[in-house]
Amino acid sequence: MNFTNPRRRFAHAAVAGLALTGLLSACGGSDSGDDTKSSGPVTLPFWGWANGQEAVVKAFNAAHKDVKLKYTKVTDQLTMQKQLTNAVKAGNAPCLVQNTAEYVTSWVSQGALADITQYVGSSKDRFNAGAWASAQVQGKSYGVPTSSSPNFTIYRTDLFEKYGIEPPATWDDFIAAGKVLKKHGVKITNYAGEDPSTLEVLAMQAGAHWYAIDGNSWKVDFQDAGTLKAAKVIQEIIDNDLNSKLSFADYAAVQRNYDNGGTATRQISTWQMAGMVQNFTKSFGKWALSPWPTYQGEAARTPAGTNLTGSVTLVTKQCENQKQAAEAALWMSTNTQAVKTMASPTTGNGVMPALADSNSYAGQAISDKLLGKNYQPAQKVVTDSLNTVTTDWTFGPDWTAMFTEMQAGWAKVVNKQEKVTDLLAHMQEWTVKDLKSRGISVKG
Amino acid sequence: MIRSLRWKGAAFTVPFQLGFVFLYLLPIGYAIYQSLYREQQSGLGLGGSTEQFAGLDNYQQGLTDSAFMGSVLRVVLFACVQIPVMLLISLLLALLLDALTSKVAGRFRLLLLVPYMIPGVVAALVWINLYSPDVGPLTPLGRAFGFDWNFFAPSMVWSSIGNLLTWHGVGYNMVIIYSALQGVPRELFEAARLDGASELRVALSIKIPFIRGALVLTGMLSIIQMLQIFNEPALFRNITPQTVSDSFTPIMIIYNQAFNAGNYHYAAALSVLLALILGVASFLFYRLTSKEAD
Repeated sequence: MNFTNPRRRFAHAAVAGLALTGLLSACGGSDSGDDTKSSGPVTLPFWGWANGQEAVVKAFNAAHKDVKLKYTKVTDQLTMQKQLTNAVKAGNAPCLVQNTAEYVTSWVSQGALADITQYVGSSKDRFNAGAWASAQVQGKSYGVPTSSSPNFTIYRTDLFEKYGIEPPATWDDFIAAGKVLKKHGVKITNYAGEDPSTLEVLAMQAGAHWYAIDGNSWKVDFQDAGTLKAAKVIQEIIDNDLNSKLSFADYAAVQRNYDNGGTATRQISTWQMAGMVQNFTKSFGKWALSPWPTYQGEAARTPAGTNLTGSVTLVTKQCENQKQAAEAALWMSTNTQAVKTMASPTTGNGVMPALADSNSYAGQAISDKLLGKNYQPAQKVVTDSLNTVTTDWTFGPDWTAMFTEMQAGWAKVVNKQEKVTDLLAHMQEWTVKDLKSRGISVKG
Repeated sequence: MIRSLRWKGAAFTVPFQLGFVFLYLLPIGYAIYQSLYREQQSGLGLGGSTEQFAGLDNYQQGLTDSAFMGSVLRVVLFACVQIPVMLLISLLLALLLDALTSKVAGRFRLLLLVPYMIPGVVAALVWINLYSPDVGPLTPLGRAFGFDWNFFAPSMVWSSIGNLLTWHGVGYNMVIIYSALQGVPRELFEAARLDGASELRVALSIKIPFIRGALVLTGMLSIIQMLQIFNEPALFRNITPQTVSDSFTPIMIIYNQAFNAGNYHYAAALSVLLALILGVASFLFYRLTSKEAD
């Protein structure tokens, strides 16, 4: 469909016709240039779920003659995990896959990914350090990052003004503000029963290390000082009923609740704003950004990339053209137009690019419709937070299984059937046992 | 002569045997084979994995897995409540139908079978929408009568699923029981009535003992179906993941192990274990219920 030359198109039809009559067996196609079967375009299957990828793939295919991407849209990360597991087992994994930073080590551990350091290593300086690290395991690159992870608080200015509270600077302030809001029937945050990522990111921020590499074995610690600090904040919020409990399963209901002022703040990154803009009807212009709350007496620190803020394009081991795949991944993360497409909440998914200098994209990645007069100051909140991203966090080799186990326990925590510390004790025991059963050496 | 005839007769079963071997025995054999292996990694676990013979380790892990055994127990307890309730309703309806003329009965039989004609997943979706605190009519209805119920709360979720299963299964079980009732010799009723037995007495002393076989059959089918319950809780999980965990029922755990955690070998072992548990449960149920009849 990109063949502009009618003669070449004719050549293609002829080649196809020959192939159909079975005469093409020995025909190498030396005369029709770079588009014939033997030397002609390598097709790389690419699986992803982010909005905007379709357009980026189209642009890539238009700009490349020898390499073509074939895009398949997958529903979400969870579906990706299932489908990719099956594809790897069946031996027909796609060349390129979108994934989030959390799962890179798991895939490496399953032997699914190709080490592409030799193809992309020299481009390291074009990316910011936190994002680059998200596609690496033990110093080897398995993919190229597509996003970085600004994180901050978004809050309802109208509710905060009405009840005379300031945007919380620390987690203690956050709880105090929550108690004020509760008196008026407003929740300060939402904890979805299936999503323990709140615990994960608060622990990251507090300097926890659930997994660490110690020599030739893993060290597992779900009960270090940082995690316990995070647990205390979360427990206090749950015990005092400061949180709503809406599941993301009913996404529209979650958004309606924010739009109606049932819950007043979220700790988010830029990409979540797209969902808010799409689903809101009445609270436009009433939202503002403030820095991610700190722990009392500590310097500002924000979590490492998770979900779409930790997006990477990975190259699989089963891919026959790993070099071309690595270069395609690099192109999608660095080409100005592609990056712009993905950074916009309308054409893409509103993520901040992974580039070393992505400050200029801050204005595009957030929504002025949502923020109204608070749009200008919000940009600084976004770019400032990029300097405080946690860079020393490690995801473990059984993260996928661990997170599934944690989800089940988190539901009980949100339903007040157990304490956060009970969950952590269970996760400690479970994870050590799970790693051992896989034959992985572990201390803990 | 006789031998060749026998072979000819056997030849007629070839299509069945082929299907049986390829669709039944081979997959089961493969699952058992898979369940004896495990993926083994080493060091930091970053170098991929190898398949190793594990013997019965996966089974031992399954038997001591509190989540798996817990889910079996959860479903068995649920079955102990839901199946008797459902069968009792089916039996009552069948007895009532049996008391009617066959023309009227036929009409009602069709009507009562309608829920069963709806695919299980669709039925679950319909009820999930009815239950929904957001859009369902049952929540405002309850409030109008002073009930503040939440069908997705941890304490309510089994009742909600049970109601759905009962609604869906009553018609099917009723049809089986009703056709068994049709087979009861009518002259017995005459004799009983001549002896002065009331209709209730006829039902209790003649009809029910006669259809014991059908009750055992429907009971056993329901138990087998219940232990394999997946669709309904999986759909409930979609809407209320905080109450329905992904280890809610045995099949959900197996699904999760295979497709989320990527642990095929363990999933295979759990599947075989579940099949064994099902076999034992059916056998026990059959023995216990038929012993009484002797």
